[in-house]
Amino acid sequence: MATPSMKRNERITRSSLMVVMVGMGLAFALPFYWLISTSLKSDAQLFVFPPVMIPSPVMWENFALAMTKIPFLMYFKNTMVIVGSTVLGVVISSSLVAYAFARMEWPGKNVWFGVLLATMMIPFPVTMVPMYLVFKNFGWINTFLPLIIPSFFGNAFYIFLLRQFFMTIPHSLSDAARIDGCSEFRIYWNIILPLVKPALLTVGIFQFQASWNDFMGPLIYLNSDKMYTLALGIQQFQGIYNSQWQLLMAASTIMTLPIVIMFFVAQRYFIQGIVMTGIKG
Amino acid sequence: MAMAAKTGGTSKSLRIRRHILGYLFASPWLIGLLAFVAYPVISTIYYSFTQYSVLMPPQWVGLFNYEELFMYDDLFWTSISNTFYYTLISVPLGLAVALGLAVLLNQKLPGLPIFRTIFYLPSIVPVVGMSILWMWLLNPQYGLINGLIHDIFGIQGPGWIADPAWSKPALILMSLWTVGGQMIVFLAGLQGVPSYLYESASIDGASKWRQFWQVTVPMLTPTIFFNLIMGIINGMQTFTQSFIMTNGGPADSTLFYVFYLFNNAFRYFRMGYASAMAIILFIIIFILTLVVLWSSKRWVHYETA
Amino acid sequence: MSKRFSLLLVLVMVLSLASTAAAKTTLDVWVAMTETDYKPFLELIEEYEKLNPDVDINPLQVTTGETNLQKLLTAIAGNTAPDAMVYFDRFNTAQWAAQGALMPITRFIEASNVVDADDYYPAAWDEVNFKGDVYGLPYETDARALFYNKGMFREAGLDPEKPPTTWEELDAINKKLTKKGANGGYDVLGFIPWENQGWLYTWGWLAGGEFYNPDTKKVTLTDPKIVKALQWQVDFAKEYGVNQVSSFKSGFGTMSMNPFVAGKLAMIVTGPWDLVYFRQYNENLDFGVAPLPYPEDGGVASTWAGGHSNIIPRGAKNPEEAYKFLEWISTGDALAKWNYETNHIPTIRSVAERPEFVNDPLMKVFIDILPTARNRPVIPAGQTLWDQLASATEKARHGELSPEAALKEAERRVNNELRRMRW
Repeated sequence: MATPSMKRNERITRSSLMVVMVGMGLAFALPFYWLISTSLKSDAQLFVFPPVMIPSPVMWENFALAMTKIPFLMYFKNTMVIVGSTVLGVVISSSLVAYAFARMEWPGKNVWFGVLLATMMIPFPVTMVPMYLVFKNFGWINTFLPLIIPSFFGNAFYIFLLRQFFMTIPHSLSDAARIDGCSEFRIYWNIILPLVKPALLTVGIFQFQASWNDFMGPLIYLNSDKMYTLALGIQQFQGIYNSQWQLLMAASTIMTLPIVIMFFVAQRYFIQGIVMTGIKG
Repeated sequence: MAMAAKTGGTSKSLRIRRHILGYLFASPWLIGLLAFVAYPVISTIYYSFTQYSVLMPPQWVGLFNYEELFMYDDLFWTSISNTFYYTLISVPLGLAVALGLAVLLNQKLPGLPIFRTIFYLPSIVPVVGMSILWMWLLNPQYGLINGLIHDIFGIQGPGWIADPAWSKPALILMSLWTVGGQMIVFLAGLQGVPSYLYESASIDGASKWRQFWQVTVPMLTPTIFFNLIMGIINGMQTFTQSFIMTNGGPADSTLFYVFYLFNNAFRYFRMGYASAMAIILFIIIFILTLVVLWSSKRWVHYETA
Repeated sequence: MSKRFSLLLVLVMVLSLASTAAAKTTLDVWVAMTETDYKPFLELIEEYEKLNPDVDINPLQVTTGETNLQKLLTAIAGNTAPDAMVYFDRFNTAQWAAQGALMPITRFIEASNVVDADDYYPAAWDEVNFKGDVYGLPYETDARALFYNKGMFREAGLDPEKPPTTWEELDAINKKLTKKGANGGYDVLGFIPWENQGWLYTWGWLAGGEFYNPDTKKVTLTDPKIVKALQWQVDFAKEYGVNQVSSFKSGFGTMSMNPFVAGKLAMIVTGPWDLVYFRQYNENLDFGVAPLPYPEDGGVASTWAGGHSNIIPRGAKNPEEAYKFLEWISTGDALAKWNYETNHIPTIRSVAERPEFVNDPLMKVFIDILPTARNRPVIPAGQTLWDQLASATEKARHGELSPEAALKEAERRVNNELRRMRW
């Protein structure tokens, strides 16, 4: 079917796509290179024109210094407790709610969906203080609870995202199951959820990231430095070491590294998920 | 839908059971709405009609805050125009870049996992770290970007965030670096495009370019819709960059709406005023979203099998 | 059995009584200090705990940035505030006090035989007073002066013992010290008016301007003297190119890359905290410190003094004990020790004039000019005023508005806010 000229065209397309990809890759990677190379520079090498690309001498001390200034392990542990719980919370709750919005009929559904979208349009600074008062009434100040519990009640952004995915799955699938006498929960759990694994993983990654990076929440709710998270630690670090670029870059690298590793690990499953859904359209 | 109606043509009690089931599935969010969202939102509406400093009990002032905003506060208008400028440019540009990258990653090219990671990585860098990194990248004299501009074009690059004329473009440039999240959403959407559609298109002799416009884009409209709405909601609420990098300056050029709102709430102790600003922003975003929602009937294609 | 039981009961009661008698008061204290300032402070806490075994201080280091003010604000609103906040930016006092966020400590001071208003530098004491009440103990102060590099003066053929005393001299000297680089930018500038502590407050007071009229209770930013101070900056921006100067400034760093340490700026306006810093990063730096120059016509010798104080937030659980602690650290030897080790100036004049401070000839320059120091207006809209001055200065410098127009806009906005507050 494929003529030689089509094959050649294909090759040209592919190689030009590759050139674009490499170009974009370089553009996106450059800031990272700059991050890492700056984190390894001495301060004399920072302020040079044209910029020095390769640090010499390589200052590993910057990392040691940043690590000793931040109680990394303690903050890491705290962060993981919060991140782990919230990822679990949003994936379970948001998918359930999204299923209701995408694949179930109930009165007022569209109005509630409008409300859902609307909750995302309220700028957070104004709700911060009333939120604080709510959690204070629950007696949750200076605990991880304000940072964790809300995630078990669904998150508008993820509900919206998953709804969009659920809606692309043919209705014939669940209708067939329903005729076979499957309960709605089993349809959701056994049939639909496995089909949207990539989307669930996406939600998990997004939440990991959001929770990992959040410093406003911990800043306001935590009053003991033994409970601080990494993001808050870095934010405080920035306030103390402003414009010592190499230390700030080292701290940022330390903070970014675990999430990069997490992404690499997740990517394997990510690909599996793609393969699973990709078999049948 | 049609099928459900057919099978649902049974008894009334069954229908009621299914309605209850729907609410049951949605109950986590509905309960959360009552517990965590309702009170803050209702109090925001109430505060917008009061003079309220957070520290002292609110005093009812009727429409005073709104009147003040529209009639007397020129900074309010500055912040609106800055925010629209930023959103109108960064959202479409971001969508295009994210979609382009996702499509590239969906080709069977060598080194995919590496590129996928490179494109996504920026959006996982902690905001604080990223802002610091970009302040350094955009440093007019010693930053990498002006260094490259000098090397390639032999000219002196702009002052970026130090120059009122360049500060918004600088923040838009930075926002393009973090389109990874949107890209992932597109990618997940692309994987949902059934391969038989491409097969039949290529049997019809459609070029890659035509396949992109006739198969990929229509099938992606639900995700484009999602990213567009989220882009507008987030773009209109841009805050952190000006909070960490520019402090609204220079010369108010990055005074974004939520940044000004934040200043009113926490630096000038005018929570009532800030609440009124929040309500106005809510209405603006709501209208924009409604326009997109309304138009979506014409361009978003959901699975209707 | 019952006898034994009652005995036990008595024993339990006695024990519990004993334990309440020995129960320690725990004071939650938030400390907004940088690393170097925090260390000597922790030593003082230990000392205080030794002197007062019944008190346990539980410090939490929070950064100096504004995010922590927000944390404090939320905590006060939620009635979960700490017992004390150490190192609270003093110029915020009026604004916070106006909202009832701070606990007045007037009654403690009246009962105290340690704290006396007359002992303090007026600029420092003025800032903690609001509508007849005192809201904090001033902890440290500073002053701004001109640091100049003697070596660079010599190189340019200038007399290193004659720093400029007027703006006109400053401008002339600046031209001699400035060097253009190969790529069109600057290699060295003599001076940048808006670098470091060169705020409009500093220059406005030197020009003889007044930012606030206590009689009309309005800010007076269009005072011709202040306009003149801004015009002087705008002239500088025009002559040297505002973007070229920005580009030059963006290369400034800290430590050995500090522009003054690295010899990129021959003169800089800054405070006493930089004395040790400059010496630490360049032992050979030969520099002098002089009072700030003022315009020949109508200028006034003055400086701007700011600083921090220690406050008790509203809703603090143990105000008496907190005050006792704050009084101890904010007076006498403890005050001297912390300020000496961190290179700040004590707010109590007799402590600032102790030998360890005045024996350093450079430090003495600051202590000598402190009596002429001015402080920012004590008004509930201090933050708005600050933001508006910064924005007006930028607009004028970038040529977006004339100095008059920019200041007029800022003045209108601040007075609007004051009117709204029914000030």
